[in-house]
Amino acid sequence: MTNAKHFGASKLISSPFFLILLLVLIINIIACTFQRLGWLISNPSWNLGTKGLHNFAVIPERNEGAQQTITKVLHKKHYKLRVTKLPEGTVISAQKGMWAPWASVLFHISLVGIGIGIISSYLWGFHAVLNVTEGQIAKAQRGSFIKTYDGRLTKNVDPGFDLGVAEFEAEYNQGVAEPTKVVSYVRVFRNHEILASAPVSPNNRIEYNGFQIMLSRFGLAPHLTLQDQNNKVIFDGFVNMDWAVHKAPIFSVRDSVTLPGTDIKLEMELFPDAKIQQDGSIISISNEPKLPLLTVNASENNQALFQGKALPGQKIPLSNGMTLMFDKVAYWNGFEVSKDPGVPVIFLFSLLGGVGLMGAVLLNQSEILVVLNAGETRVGGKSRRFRGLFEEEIAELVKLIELGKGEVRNYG
Amino acid sequence: MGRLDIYLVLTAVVVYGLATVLFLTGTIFSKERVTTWAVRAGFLGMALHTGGVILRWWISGHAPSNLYELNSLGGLLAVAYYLWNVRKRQDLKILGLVLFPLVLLLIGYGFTKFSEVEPLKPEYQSFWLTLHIIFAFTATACYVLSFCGSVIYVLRGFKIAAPYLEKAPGDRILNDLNARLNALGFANHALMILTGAIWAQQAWGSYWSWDPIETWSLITWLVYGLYLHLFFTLNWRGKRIQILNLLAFAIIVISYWLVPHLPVRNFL
Repeated sequence: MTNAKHFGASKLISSPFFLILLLVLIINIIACTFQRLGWLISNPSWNLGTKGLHNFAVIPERNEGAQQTITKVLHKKHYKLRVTKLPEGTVISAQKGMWAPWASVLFHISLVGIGIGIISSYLWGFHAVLNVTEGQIAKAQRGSFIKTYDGRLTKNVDPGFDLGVAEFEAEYNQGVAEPTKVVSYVRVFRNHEILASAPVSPNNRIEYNGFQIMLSRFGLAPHLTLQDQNNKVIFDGFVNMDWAVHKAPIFSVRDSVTLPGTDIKLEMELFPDAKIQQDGSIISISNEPKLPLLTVNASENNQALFQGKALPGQKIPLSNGMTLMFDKVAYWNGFEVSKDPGVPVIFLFSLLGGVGLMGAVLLNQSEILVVLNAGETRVGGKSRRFRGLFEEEIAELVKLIELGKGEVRNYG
Repeated sequence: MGRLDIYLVLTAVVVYGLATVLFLTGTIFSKERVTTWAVRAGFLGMALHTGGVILRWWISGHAPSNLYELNSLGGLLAVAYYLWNVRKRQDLKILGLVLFPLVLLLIGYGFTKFSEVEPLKPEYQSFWLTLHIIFAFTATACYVLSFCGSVIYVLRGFKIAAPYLEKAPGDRILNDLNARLNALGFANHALMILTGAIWAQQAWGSYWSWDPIETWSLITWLVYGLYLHLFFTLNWRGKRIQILNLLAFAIIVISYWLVPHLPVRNFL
């Protein structure tokens, strides 16, 4: 079991075997790209050559007007034409998709470029989650973040500012658990001086000092105060309720926490807009904290201390002599604070890669050669890809010029 | 007015069902006229379906977002792309034999997840999400059509089925067409991943989080990349490349239907 875990059975994406496979893929792309690039540079003519040119059709009789039809048809199919008069007859050379191999290489080089961008962000970037309660300020410094994924080369990236939430708004449609509008009015501080102030909502982030600040999560946080038998305050703060349960039309949020510095465990359910029904059960008629009610199941080392409900401002006497007070409810906001230095590189190469990929997919390098002389007409050609479809194109060409007597042979 | 979009899609489903029956009849009894009528039924179904999708989009005021709307759009794009190809190549009509039952399954699955028009969650209110959805289903339409080609190719290998599938394009042409469709799907898939990453950054603050849906989307893209390399570079042809294509499509099915329902923590 331990070996299976070590191998990555339980954590696939960060497992060694997945990372090794990813590395092998990257090395493969780099090696193949440069091999192909070298081949293209050493073949500057970029053409398929005449060696191996296949005769598709040999028409024993000359059709008057064939040259005009051929040039018209090939031109319509976006071939670049070159007509040469030789003693043996008239040679029509048609080419298209000459850039296709370069498009493919451009796409693969772009993958390498995107990889460089990703590695840059991995090494020098920063990404962290900071939770701030409405009306409070949180120091956006190491240690305050819930989790950080900072750059491998610069372990001590510090945004160097504090983040505050002046107000938070969430609008709900009746009977719907998910909000339709969410706005957090954010203030950026340094040494208690307001440096910036802006509304932040999902899809509407702000940038400060190169750091992107965006709202990714929010929830409700009851404010609790715990006092001991001598009225000494042991805990005083908001408890962010993280585990949300939305069961329309009964909206409630549940969570379980152990109060810091104590062994007191609280299992809580918060009804933001509570209504007590005739049978004594509690429901919440909306998600907005208009009339909050908290049900608490308090225990200490598996010994029950209290089980019941509380309204804001209500004191809860615990059986160990302490007092728990539920004061009010506020929103907490989860902010993603990030810096991705590799993103411009990734975007640039994504753009180039898109152009390359479209070229590689839509272009097909092919050549058609038609030799017209007094006695016969020969139609030949070569295609890098889609040879079956290319043969059809030649057959169609032969049919269109109404020579009819040519035998379309299979490509060798 | 509020229900008209649903009635239009339901009528389209009936017409697609009729097209399926006509395709089966036309193929079994080798009646070209019946198959032509099946394609005509496809056009009628598409017209009704387009009306339904556009109306739903207009009523909701946003791009398809729930499973019913997404499956409906996916089915519509697959049919539209099929019919567009049939107009260019008549011998591709036979693909409808596989395509229409698939589309019926897709839309039917969507109806099992039906929900009324809802306002979009804030993180879904993004132009990038609309682009992401359009690229995703355009890619799927290409892959679906290519899958249909592979099914016909493989079925033709069985003596019992071969006489009924004579009108389909030849093996070499089917190989090429499938590769072309997959290449186009691959390009759209790349754009889907890119636009999805930009949307994810706007909505959740991270371009890529290795969540199961993202990861399986990448795996699918890599499998189609493998297909294209085997086809173009190593010249794989015939049954083995078609079977790989069928497997690649199976991964799409896993990515789209199975992965979103898996418990995330067990995977990551």
